[in-house]
Amino acid sequence: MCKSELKALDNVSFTLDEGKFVVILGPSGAGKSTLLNLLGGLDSPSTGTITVNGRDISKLTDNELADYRAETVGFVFQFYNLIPTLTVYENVELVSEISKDHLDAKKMIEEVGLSEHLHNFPSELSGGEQQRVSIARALAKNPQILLCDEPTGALDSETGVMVLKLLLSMAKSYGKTIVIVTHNQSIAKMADMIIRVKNGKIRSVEEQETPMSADEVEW
Amino acid sequence: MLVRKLFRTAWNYKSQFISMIIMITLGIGIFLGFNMEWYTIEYDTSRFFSDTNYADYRLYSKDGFTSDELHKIMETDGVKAATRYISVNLDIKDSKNKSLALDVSENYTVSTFIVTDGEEYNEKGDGFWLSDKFAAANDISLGDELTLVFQGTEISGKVVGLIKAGEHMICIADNNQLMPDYSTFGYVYISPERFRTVLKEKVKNTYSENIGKINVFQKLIEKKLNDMSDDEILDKAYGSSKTYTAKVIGYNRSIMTESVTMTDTLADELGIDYHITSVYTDKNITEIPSSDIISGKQDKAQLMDTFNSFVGIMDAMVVILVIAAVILGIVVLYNLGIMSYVERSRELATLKVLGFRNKSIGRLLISQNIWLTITGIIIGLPAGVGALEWMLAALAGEYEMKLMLGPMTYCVSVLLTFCVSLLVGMMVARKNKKIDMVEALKISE
Repeated sequence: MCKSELKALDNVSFTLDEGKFVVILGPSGAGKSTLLNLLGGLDSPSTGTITVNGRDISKLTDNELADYRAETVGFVFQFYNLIPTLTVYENVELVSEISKDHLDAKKMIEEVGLSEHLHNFPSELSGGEQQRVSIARALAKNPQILLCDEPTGALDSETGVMVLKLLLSMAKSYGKTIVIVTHNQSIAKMADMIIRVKNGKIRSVEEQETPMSADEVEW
Repeated sequence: MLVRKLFRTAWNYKSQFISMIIMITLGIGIFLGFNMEWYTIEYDTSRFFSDTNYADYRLYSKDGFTSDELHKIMETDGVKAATRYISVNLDIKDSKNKSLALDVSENYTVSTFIVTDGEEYNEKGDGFWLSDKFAAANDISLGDELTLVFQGTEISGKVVGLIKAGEHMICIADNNQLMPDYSTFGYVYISPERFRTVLKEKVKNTYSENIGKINVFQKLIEKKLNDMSDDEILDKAYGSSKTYTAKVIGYNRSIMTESVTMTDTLADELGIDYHITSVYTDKNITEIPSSDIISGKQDKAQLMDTFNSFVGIMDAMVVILVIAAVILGIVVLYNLGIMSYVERSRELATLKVLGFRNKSIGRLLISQNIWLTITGIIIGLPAGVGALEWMLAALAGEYEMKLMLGPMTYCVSVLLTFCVSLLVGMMVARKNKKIDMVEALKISE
């Protein structure tokens, strides 16, 4: 039997500017999540380099990658990935054990509007609330880049818009670079940069000089 | 925070964790059980006899032994100590079918007893030192009054001590009793002084002048009691239907057999057809030449070798069982650990994604096992000891066996359990190193 080589991403090259809102757009299976995972240090490329702040993260060891994830990037996932055995406060406070420059957990929770749920467990919250906890946790690490994989994918559209607004406003107020992976074209209208991916290749990289606000977008 | 997570995870997956605790508890219990049995046998066959200076030899004489004879025996080379000793069965007043072997020894450094509760032995004391098992079986406590009856003569006193005696390790009243039954028969010791003043008239010339049983070092000689010569017994020679009647002139006790012993003269008088099959000698076995008329030779060393071989086989079996238990424990704990890990892989992958190093998560998994082990040990130690005590009390409570567990047993079982648990924890933690974060996060809740 012969094995065929499968390339999730091939010949991909782009540059992200600090403080920008970038959307990676593409259909399912296009390779956009793989791209995000590479940026986040969850996966390593077989060839090529990924340079963040002048540091090639594709050559880092396991421990160095763990430190990179702890200090440089924050993740927001489609299914939240909160620790079910920790309360809202504990989920956010947890990152203080790995991030030297972390932000105050209570303040973050307050900013996502969940002060009254400090001591609730994730199972006691709605999907939107859980995603807000996830955003608070990601920002509490005080990372340079916020990586979001379909952050509204598991939410109804009304809640999704609300979460997205919150995500963008907080990222902006804390000056974070934010990368969102989605197949939702509407979200792309709000981005500073749109990277279109298909079949593992970048089809286009488009910069928007006047991105729309969430209220202007038709959802 | 991770510690809090650890305990809450344990609570959320309690069935798995309880299974692991039960496994550890069983492991500890089984290990303790094996060791207890092991150590108990060793203790009862060496320490207990040793502690009580159990007699190495018993000498018997139908006329009893005088003080001079005792002294001559004590002067013999190799004899460290000897005592004259009697044991007679007495009824307990106002009780049905309850009796006690009343024991008296002139020298309590030979075939003595261990006081488990109450006063130490006093050779001029008035009290009774009663078998602790008989006391327990008959609800008798320290300070209770007992009245014993010997051929119409009563001897009363308070129970001043509860004891275990090597002489009565298997405590039976006579040949008709197959198994010890402490509810009906036990033993009691009194001081020689007390014996002289109370039973002297009944057992005259047998104790003050001629005690019939001499313990040589750990040896005991049981004296025949001339005053009991009025009793008669009926007996049949083995394989014969003919019945003979003879007077009882004394009792003896042997660890080898239960039998009636008589002189060749008496056997001839009674017309018992017998032939000599064994000869006892003090010669070294190597000095006895082989002969067609000798079918076999046996000496004390051979008996001891046989026993040692038996203990050796027991030891080997216990070692095999312990190894099997450890392997079983590793397999079961590993599988439970992996099951638990797989169920929580998404959670652990999340920790890695957040930036926790493999080492931190590994520590979490190992410490989780350590906590389970501590819980298992806390429950397992008393449960194992309790279960074994109950088993031995139920199955072998009639024997004078004292359960023993050395500190080494506790140390080894705890250390072994910790090592197994640590090993399993490390194996699971190693698996975590290789977890594919991306794949693990795809698992939906």
